[in-house]
Amino acid sequence: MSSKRVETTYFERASRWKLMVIILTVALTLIIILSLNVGFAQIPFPTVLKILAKRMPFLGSLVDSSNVSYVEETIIIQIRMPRILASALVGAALAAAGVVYQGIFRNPMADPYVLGVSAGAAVGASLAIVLGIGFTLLGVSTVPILAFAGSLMAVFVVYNISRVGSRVPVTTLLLSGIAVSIFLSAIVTVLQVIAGERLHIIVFWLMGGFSYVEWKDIWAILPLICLGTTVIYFYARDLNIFALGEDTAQHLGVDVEKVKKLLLVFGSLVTAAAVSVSGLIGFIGLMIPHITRILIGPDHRILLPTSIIVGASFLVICDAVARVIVSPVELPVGVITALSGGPFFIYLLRKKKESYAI
Amino acid sequence: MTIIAIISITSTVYVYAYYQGQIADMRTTISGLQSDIANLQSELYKYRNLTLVDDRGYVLNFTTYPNRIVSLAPSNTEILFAVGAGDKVVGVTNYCNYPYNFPAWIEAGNLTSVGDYWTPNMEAIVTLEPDLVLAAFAQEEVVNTLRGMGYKVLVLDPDNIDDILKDIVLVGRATNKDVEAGILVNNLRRRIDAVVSKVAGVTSTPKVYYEVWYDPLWSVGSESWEHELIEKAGGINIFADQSLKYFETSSEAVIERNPDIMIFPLGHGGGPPFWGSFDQVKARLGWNAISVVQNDRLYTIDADIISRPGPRIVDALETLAEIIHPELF
Amino acid sequence: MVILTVNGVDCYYGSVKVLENVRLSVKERDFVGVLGPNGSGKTTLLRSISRTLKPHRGVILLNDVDVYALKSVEVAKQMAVVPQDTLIAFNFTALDVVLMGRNPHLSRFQMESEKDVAIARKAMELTNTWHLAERLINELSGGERQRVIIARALAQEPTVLLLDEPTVHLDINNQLEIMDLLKELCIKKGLVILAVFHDFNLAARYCDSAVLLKDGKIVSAGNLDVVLTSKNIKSVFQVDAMVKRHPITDSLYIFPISMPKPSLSRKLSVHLICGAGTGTMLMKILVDEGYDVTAGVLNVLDTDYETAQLLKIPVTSDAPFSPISEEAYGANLEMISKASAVVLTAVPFGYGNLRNLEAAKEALEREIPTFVIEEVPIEQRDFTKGKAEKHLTELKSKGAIFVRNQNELLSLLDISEDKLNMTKELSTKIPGHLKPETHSCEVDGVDDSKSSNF
Repeated sequence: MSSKRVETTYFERASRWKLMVIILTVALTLIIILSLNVGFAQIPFPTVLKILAKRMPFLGSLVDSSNVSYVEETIIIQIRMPRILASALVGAALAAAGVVYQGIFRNPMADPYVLGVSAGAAVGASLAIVLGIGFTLLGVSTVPILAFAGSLMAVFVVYNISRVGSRVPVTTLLLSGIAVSIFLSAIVTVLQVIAGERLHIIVFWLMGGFSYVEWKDIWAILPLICLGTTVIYFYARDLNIFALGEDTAQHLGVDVEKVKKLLLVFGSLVTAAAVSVSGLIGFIGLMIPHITRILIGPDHRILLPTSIIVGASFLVICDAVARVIVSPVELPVGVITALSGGPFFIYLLRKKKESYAI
Repeated sequence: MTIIAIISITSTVYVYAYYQGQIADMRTTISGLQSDIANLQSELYKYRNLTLVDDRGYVLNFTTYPNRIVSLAPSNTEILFAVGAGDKVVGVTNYCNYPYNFPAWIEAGNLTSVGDYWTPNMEAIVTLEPDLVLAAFAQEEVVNTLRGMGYKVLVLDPDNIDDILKDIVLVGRATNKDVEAGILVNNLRRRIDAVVSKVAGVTSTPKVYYEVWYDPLWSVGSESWEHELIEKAGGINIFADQSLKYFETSSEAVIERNPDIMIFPLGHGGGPPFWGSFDQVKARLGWNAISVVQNDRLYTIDADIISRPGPRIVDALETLAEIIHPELF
Repeated sequence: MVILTVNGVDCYYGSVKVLENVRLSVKERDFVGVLGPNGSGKTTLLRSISRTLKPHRGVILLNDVDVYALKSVEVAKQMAVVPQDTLIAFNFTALDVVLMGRNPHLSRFQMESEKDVAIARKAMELTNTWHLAERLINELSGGERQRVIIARALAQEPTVLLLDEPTVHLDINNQLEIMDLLKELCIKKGLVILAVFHDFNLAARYCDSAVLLKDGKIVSAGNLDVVLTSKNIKSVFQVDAMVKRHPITDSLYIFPISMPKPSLSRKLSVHLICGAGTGTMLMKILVDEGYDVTAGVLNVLDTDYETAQLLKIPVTSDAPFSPISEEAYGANLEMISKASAVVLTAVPFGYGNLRNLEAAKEALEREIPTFVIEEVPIEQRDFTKGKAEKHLTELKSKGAIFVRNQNELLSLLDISEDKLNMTKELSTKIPGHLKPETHSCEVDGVDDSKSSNF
């Protein structure tokens, strides 16, 4: 085996990565545009494209959109577009958080909900529902706000329970996360009992979905998720080094405690933002990182962007399926993600079980 | 340094995007207003300024009567048809089944289904281009989103029989069927009074257990209209001390309170009930010891008439009265 | 030039003090071994130096700068650590892992350049792992993985290298290879190495100096021959060990020996006629078993002579490279006459020690039971052109008891200890060598009339 090939292979890898990210981004854009075509209302695809083009700065004037009806435009722009973008953002956020948590905890079972984000959000949302939603704050209704606040508070509690001086040992974090989640889930159950006839609302929120997403929800979470995933990406190499163990990472110059805290904060922030809009959608945060890792390897510098794009695409597709498969009734999107992703992941595991040692 | 750059870039993006969103929202509102004006111009002779307040206190202003109404709940559908506004209804849920066989209409393509009660389909509603949407309890998200897009939505969420009657009046006002609604409400009130006065002089008030669900057991508390119906029909709800509308209970509690009469709802649309048969009820653990089971005073009632807050609630009252005081009715 | 200083360091795990007042000074080109029993604080010392466990008291200076005042990146550019456990959470390639060693030298957004890959390659070639570059790290054997980790540490281009039991998973050839590599880096590149060892001899072979820890305190530190003494080893490990300088490698080597069982104390005294190492083990076993042992004639360069010195066995010695002197011969006979039994081991015979056979014959004349161990046939060890063989045959005919190996000998000696009347037992056990009447056992201070169990 010529050793020159090893070095060239190594450097070719970087350009392969760039290519992959470009292709995947293009794919995601296509998926978004194609899923604009999916829904209860049968809108012809050319009309969809015209409606999109109308909103673009330059194409708008080139396109003849006189026979596009107000209803069609409303459906595409006000109903489908926010919904699709929300599922892309949420899928990206959950996948990114999943990669981060699996990297920090060096545990394949870690997912974005492991530190109590989901349980905290459930408590917040249930509380808002039981107390009677209706008032809005800054144009956003109380349920997502309380859900967001609830998840951040839960993570804050978990963090402070686990703190030893200025360090946060990962095992303690995991265990506290489990304990706090169990406790908060019990509170959710109590709230469900008190809720009486509002029980159904809580249940449907918990199941998760994008049925009533508005543009203002997008504006609320877009900056958080973009900022969070960008900051997380800065620490991609540090996440690689974490695989060697925290002590070794420290010896290699990584400021372990600072990086851990930062990644935990931003991981939790993007998850909380996602959950406040979408409810609890499972599978993405846990499985997408594994699926991408099996396919392209454990280097976080490519794993993070790929997982983000794959997570976004996957959730956009699942939401499209969820809204048409028994139209006009909508299935909870979490059902689709689990039913489709589960078997695929099992298939991948079986194919690659020898080399996928984690 | 890089972090400051990123934060400022992100903030700029955010601000730009936010204002783009605001502009987009404004455009939508403008379009909505424009179509309102168009409607006005073609129906000037029917000009009338109408202000309605729904059960959540939300105020709606109409300049013209709605022609395309979407109902998001079977109870709302029943009220609409009862006041004679059925011809304006363009969309219903797939649970609506009275007073007509709406599922068949939907199949035939003469009516559109907007999904189920819990997650009505936004696209379906918008495609119908409604000028009035009647929503019900637990549909806040849909309501907020529709209102945000400029649609007129009224929420009907009554707590008791009186509120139900007020809702019928409201729907009548909204659909230019004030007279019909008034007549209907009067009739309903007369029937209610008839029952109430007949049971007024009764000597015994049987204890009644009404079962909402069977596994786990759910019953009704004093804030529910089922409770009000029972009381008006001359009975006592064994869970009158519970304030919650609907709550989970246990066989123990039921047995301990020793009802004289047990009433079970039939399935939706009169279909077979979820709890099986009376034999299965009697076979429940410990239930064969209760006197009511031994005396076989188990009854059923159509679930639709008792659980939907519409005109048929009075049918439910009369049925209950027959069950509770067969000697009088 | 002092590179690393540990000054008055106390370390705690919670409230338990694990290091107390540790002082250490390491210069350029030092290869320091850290030794001590389990729990003595060896790994803790490494951890405090590598900034994993901050000391409660004391300061650690790297190039005169407090290690804890620096940022970890700065320290990582100068100091590399090879840990004991090498479990890697994700399946990176070996090259990826080694390249992680370049992290301290790269800024946040900088990708690895050709120079970094070249450095990684060099490190992997030095540790003989370059051929594993594209293999997945978790598919490698423990030893291969260990070498990749060492390559990773070398890729950091450190001036100080800390290793925690670096050879524990490696085969002997890999062990030596790595240690040779480290030694070479130490000498040629001035790399300072501080390594924890469990294996004294490996440490002794490569380290220049050592630190011996016990219960968190330094018992001894400094040059190897100062630290690795029998006394130190005894006090720290409670084990008797012999420290010698190996003739070929010229490094110290240590071998532990066990203590004699105090409870057994036999009355038989045994005189060994041996040499050339054939008697060493027997000496030790007999001493352990509680026999009084003497030996002779041994020349002062003989291995058995050394063993005898160590075990404090009285020896009749003589000058090397010459036949046994009359004086020595006489002294030997005196020793023999005091013994209850004489054992002739399977020692090779040359003209130098031929007279020992005559001494054995003398023993038989004096009616002292004489045992001859015939592990190796006489033909293979007779360098006297048959004379030794002749002596041996004579011994046989005079009644010497020939045994095949040490175990047989020991069981016979055991029996005789119980019986004190060797003749009866031996005549029933061994076919026909002895005349029962002429050989009676005279053992000091023991009642002849003691009955036997047989």
